Amino acid sequence: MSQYQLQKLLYDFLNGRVGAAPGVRAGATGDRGGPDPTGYDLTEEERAAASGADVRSLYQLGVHPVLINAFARAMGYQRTDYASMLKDLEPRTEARPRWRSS
Amino acid sequence: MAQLVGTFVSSHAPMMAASVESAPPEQRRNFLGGVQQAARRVREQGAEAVVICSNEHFTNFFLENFPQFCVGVGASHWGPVEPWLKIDHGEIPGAPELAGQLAGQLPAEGFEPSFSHELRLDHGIMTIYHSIDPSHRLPLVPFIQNCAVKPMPSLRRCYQLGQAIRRVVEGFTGAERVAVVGAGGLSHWIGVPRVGDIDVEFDHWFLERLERGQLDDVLDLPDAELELAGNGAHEIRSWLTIAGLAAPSTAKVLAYEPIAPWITGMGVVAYDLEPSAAGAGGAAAAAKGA
Repeated sequence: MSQYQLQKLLYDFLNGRVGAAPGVRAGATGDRGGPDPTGYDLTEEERAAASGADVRSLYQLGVHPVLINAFARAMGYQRTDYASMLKDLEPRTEARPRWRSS
Repeated sequence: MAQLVGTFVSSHAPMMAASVESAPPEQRRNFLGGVQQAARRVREQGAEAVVICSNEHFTNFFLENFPQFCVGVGASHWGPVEPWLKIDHGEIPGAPELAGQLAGQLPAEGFEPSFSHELRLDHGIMTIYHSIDPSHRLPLVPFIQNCAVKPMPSLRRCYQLGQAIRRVVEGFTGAERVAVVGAGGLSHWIGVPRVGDIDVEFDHWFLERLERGQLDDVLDLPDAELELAGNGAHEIRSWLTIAGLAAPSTAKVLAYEPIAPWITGMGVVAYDLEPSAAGAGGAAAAAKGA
């Protein structure tokens, strides 16, 4: 697992330093690929998640949520789109914060 | 010596500039009315420069070097970076003397912010800056805070930072009136399964404490508990920075609306500052836990 490298790839893609993966159609419109992972030290699972703009897998691989949000938007997804992709991944918590009155 | 004027804090969801019409009209009117009221005070009180404390969204920094605080000391800044934000894109004038005073004098106050001559501005600062000065002529010092990447500065540290910023700005001789403003929060979730949720109960709890100036409960919140109001709730660090700066003055809530289409608890508070409070009462409050 190379979480840092994966996040760096997305960051570089969002900042125009990395182009789209050739021959891949991904994202909301399918008119281009996710980032080209060439040169980044990634596992096969990470390469596939990035180039295929697989937001659910990227989240499961530990990509920071702020990067998830920006990347999803860059790939044409609305927040409601990625919310439904991630829907069942919310960890359950029994914690009760101090501001909760009931 | 500079006088602090127009102190306020506001939420900064990008939709307030990108798709303002997506909010229900009454909520939009209430929230933006609060922002406009606060922004008008900055103009009417004659601010010659504005410092805006807001959070980093991976716009300038990545994990190879992620500062807890960064002062934008450049002669100009560029923004907004989001092409879809309905704000004119271009150069924003900096205030390098004031920024240099912050970068140079905060270490003597116990804070060592990083500094950058080349900051890009995203919605976090631009939505609020544009509200204050739609002509984009008012000199700006961006003060970037880490409110997203763990480990983050503690809430109490951010409160104390505000007290230090006040002492430095009040010691600045290059302007007579300076506004220090915060932007971020309130509750929201971003890039996670609960995106779209708003914790109204948290927002009211937090705003009530700002109004009363009773912040012990807030300043002691561990990050894990705060995150139960959303990972975006970490942005209350900017609110607490301004609360520290303004102490012992307390906040007046100008507006609060949980705007679902903007996925955020949208609030605005303003402060009427008592002279030089941070140097005396504010420091004492911090010493005993605010």
